[in-house]
Amino acid sequence: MKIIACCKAAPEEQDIVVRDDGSLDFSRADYKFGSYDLNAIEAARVLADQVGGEVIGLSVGSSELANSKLRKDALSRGLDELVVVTRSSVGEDANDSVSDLSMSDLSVSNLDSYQTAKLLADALEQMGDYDLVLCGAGSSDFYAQQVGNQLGALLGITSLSAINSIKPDVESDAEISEAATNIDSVIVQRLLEQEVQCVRVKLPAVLSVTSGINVPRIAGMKDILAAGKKPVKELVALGTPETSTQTISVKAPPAASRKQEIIQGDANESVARLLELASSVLR
Amino acid sequence: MSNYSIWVVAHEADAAAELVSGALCLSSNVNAVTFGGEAVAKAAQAQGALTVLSVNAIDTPATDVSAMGTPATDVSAVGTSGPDNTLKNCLPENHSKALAKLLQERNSKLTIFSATATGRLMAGMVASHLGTSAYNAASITINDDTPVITSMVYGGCAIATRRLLSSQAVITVGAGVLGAVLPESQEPQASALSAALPESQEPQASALSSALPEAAESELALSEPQASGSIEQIDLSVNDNAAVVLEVKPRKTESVNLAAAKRVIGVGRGFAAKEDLELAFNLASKLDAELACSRPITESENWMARERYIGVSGVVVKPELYIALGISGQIQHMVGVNQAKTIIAINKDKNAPVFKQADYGIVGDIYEVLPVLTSALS
Repeated sequence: MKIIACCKAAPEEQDIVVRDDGSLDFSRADYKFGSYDLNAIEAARVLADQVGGEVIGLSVGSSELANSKLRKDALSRGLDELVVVTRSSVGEDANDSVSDLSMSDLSVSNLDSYQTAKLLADALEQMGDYDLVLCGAGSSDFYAQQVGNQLGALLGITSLSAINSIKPDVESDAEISEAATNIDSVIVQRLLEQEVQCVRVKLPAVLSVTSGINVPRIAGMKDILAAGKKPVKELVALGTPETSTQTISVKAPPAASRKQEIIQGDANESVARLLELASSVLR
Repeated sequence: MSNYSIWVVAHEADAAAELVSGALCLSSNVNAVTFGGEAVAKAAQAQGALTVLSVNAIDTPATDVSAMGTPATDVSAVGTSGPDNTLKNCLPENHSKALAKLLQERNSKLTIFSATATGRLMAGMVASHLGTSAYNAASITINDDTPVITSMVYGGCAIATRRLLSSQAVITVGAGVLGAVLPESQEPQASALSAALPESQEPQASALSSALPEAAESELALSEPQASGSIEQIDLSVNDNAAVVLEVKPRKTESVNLAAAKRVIGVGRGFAAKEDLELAFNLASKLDAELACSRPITESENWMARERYIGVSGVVVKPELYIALGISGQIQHMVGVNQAKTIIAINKDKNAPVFKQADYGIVGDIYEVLPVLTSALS
């Protein structure tokens, strides 16, 4: 079974600094793959280990994808191979530090979900046959939660979201080893607001998993060392459709002003002081 | 009032009513495609949709399933739950391609879905067929016949304001976004977030319409009964490779309405074991507060139901008082509580970011402070 796990590198949001005017400073924010994408990689690895097969990571982006540390990070989490799709060629030895990306570079990589889905669909076509494409719940930057949904529709295959479990569609475990590479459908659980759907999905399909489907593995030293030897393929995007939006502004919402009365010391004294200060809200 | 062509797509009566009445704050030309039978169609019509197209459900599991080459026995459990059981074996999402074609034929300039899992999936698939992106809008206005939306980005640390350039834009909106009321005390620039959390859902006093010169007119339009639109029954073909629902179970959800709670206590990684949450339970019962948690507590530890998770991808609360216990205060969590009137934080790390966003803080071990605080409140 060939499983593709889609992932997106985005600036680490903990390191994005909000300037006084509400604008964002990305200069200290390194790129990393979003935490929701790790759920997709983990789900792909678990399924591939169960039924036999390989897991290929697929990422669309810009010069940030040239960073070898970033690549190794994804490869150490269970991928067998990584395919990076960029809109212009990036060399292995290109700028390893992406933290000095300027805003103009950022805007180049600011693809909307249709553009991203289209580039992924084009890449999948170039990569040949696949059985299953997994996406996370959303990217860690824009969190539109749409790339998986849109990708399935573009590929003309089943697209389902909110997937909380994926099992091979077989009668018994014995059948798994027999079927091995021949699994043509999976049974998934979809976690909707009020109900849980159990759905049979014919492969190939695109499934977007929830952030609760698994706990992504933490790479060990062995995984990290092995990651350096795993193949990375580079594809250049064939062409990007026009953007569907014009971004007017990206700004932090004004922060509520807080009193910030911080009490330190012995527990008894601290509580006594808190009750003095905040008596109106605690009674 | 703008005559901009808007279509809403809904598969539940409440959502149909809310989307139609909310969209009427944006334009007088609001229409609907409904799934789920007469009740949903009527709800859209009653709110003033000009045209309602009610999609006939494919309600015979036997034919439906044989058409998809699946043994009929597998669907015996289908359709046993929910009021509109006719829909359960065939997902509304399975009609997305035909739906996109319909919206194109009807020249929908803006198509609005509800931001549920089903609504978002349909929106994304339809958007792809229309050659555009689907966006989730925390607020929306229409300026010069172009939708302008805001969305939360970068884990909640910023709001992106975007103009939708597509001639057939597609958005999803959460409950209360359309026709949301801007609280008087809020600055206008805070509207993106507050729009997502209306004080009340009266469509008349709309934050959206206040941004439009035609505000007064839209109030007039809404105050008149408008259930004069037509309902047409239509058939929509099913996508190739449609997924087959085998079974639908009600989700075991904890019925907790955090959004309505006056006091909320959030627990985080500072708790070392599940049993220790008792310290928080005790405080909560003293304060008559609801318990909530940060993401690791529900996802990594599974100590609390997901319904109690506060944050950018969880619940957003707006209580009188929020108490953060052993929570470091990362942006993804704080974005879910920063509209609380008062925030109290207890954390042993004096450098925890939560203290910068708290009104009152105690630097101390929750294991020592909580028993003292709880008994002091007796």
